[in-house]
Amino acid sequence: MIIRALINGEKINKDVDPNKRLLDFLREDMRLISVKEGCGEGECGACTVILDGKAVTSCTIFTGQIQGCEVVTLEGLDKSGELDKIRDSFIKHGAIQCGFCTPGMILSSKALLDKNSNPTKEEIKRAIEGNLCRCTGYNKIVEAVEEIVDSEVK
Amino acid sequence: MHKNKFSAPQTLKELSKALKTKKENCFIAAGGTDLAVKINKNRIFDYSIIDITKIQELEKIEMINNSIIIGACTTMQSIENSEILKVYAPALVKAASKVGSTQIRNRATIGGNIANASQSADTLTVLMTYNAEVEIINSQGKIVTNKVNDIVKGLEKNLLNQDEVITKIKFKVEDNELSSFSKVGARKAVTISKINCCIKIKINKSNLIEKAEVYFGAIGPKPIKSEIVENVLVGKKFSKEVLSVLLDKSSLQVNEAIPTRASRYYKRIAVKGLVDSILNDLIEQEQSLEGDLYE
Repeated sequence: MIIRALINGEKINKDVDPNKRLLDFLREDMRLISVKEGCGEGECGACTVILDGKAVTSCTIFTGQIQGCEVVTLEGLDKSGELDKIRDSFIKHGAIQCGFCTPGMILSSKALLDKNSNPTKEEIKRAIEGNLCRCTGYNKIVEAVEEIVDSEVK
Repeated sequence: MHKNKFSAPQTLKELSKALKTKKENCFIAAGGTDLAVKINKNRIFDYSIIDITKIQELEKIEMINNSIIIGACTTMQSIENSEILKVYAPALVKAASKVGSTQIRNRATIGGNIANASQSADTLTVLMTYNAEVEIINSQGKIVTNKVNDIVKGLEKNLLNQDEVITKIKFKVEDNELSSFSKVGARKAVTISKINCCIKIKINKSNLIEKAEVYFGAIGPKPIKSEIVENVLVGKKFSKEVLSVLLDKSSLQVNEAIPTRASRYYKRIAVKGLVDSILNDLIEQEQSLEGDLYE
């Protein structure tokens, strides 16, 4: 099946297996390997991508379902330069250790900030509730996102 | 062989046409949050998909007279943010807001929650409390209406025919109705209900509870109606005073529902916290209702 979609700002027109998980399509066919497979059950959030402005777990979506949609992965944020500020803040706060959850964590935060440029601590926590991190204990991640908020408000 | 067929009808007409060839291992996909996991877990490789998320009319929330109509593909996130539902069905808003995580709520649909028929489904408890009905379309394009309670078997089984799809969810609401939902899981967020509860009451002018509907979820294959608790509420003055009897009777209800299950000791106590938080929420709702009247 031919899939037409906008992936990281680029129009694609590709013949793919529509019943494949979006996660596998992005990694295998598009070589976007920032998208990680953790649990494969929609619980851990490592495979989070932004689909039409919303954070979703790409392991629970069929590739055929993105027909005509827009998908953003971490590579897309890198390309558009939007990643710089978030990355700096994550590094500054020690919000990254092993790094496996980081792409998902950043995309969940990004989806929140796009809708709500001044979220409260509780709103940040709720946005990343579906992203598991076994290293940092979350506080540092929340602090990192809070700093992005502060710097944007200034 | 299915050769991994995938179709995405855009109208109900196209949907019933697609249903004509539906057979075993052909799945209806909405948000995919349960389905994709099941297919992957059960190692199903030969299957086809009918994606119903491109049918726009299935994503609406409307109120006609005193009926609420919700499209089957409405996501938990849309339900949580619906102004209509916040006013007329607060319990449903609360249940939707407690489903999974942000990512899951962005995809998971109410129709899927019914069709998947999990014993721990959060919105099912609320829909049964509201005595909700579903509209179902089949491959002939015929639409039938059924009670949610009648098509949910529980334990991830529904009673839909092979060529049937849920298209709409409908229920009636009344003025001066209060409702709330609460759940207990292993942790605060992203959790599966170990027990959940929905209470809906109607209060009359003299502040007496005229009607009460109470359902408990996750203590059976599907949510169960609790007449024991309903009887405590009906005819009583609505205040914090009904609480202690209410808690005891809720505990009794859990005991009756699961007299032998190992989790009964835990659930008998957990249910008290659950009902207490619902009652607090209802009292808050009532006060804001009164506030509106006096303004």
